Amino acid sequence: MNDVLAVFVALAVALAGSELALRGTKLQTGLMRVLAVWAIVYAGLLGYMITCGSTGVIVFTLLWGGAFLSWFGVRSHIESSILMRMMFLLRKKALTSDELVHEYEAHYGESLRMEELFRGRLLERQDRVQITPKGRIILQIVAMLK
Amino acid sequence: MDILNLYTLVTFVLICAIFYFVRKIPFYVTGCALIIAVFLWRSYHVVQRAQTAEWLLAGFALILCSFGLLIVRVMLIRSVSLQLLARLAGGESAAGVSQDIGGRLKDMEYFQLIRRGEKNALTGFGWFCSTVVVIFYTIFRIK
Repeated sequence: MNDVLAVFVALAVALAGSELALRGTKLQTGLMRVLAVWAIVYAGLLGYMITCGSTGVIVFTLLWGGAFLSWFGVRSHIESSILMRMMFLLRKKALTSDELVHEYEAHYGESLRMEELFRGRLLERQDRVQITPKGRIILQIVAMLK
Repeated sequence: MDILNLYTLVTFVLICAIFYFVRKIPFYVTGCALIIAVFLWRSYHVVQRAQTAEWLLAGFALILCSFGLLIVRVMLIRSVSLQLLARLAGGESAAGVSQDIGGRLKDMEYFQLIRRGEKNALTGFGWFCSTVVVIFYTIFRIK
């Protein structure tokens, strides 16, 4: 059971380290820093498993990959969920549908989303706004998942 | 590679296959649950007592992989930003974001988070969920 304890301690370290690495910025902005944290903790735990533990590399690697995907998905969803943001806005007072959409768009509307797409290098400005090769790859992946 | 690691790897490959071919979420969840249940039952009979911790971790790993793949898929296909990107890639205008956002109101009503009327107000369940949201925003320093 030492392996189980080691894994959960390592996950806690990775989660805490990720939040420290993000420093309050958005996940897609600090993604490389977060990946570095998870890679470092993975390497440390892998070293433990090889020297002292009894868990196989495949089991451990799949666990780490699954944990990262799950954390990434949940964290990203919490950060960008429109539904959650709208619930947050409705805590202040009841709003009509138009007021709620307007309030939400003032916080995170089309212009801010466009800025994020530019920052993430999924869009670029040349003669006009156009999608980058990276953006096309992302859309192909999304199309495969639908 | 020992038998447990082999079983885990094969099960993961099957989960990936289900993820690729099965697009309906209830079927995906059911499929993964069945595969993981079969894995746990078959592998339990071949692992030695000393491998109990590893067996537990293997089951946990497969559950995390299934959940992780699912949530990333849901996140990508529902993303308003990626729908905006797709519209721009197709030469369409960026208009329609408001419509996408407005569609979430129907989701909130469906999940009984709000009462719709002249004004939308949180239900009791909505208040509970929004409190959880506030806690998450505080923990993750989301403004």
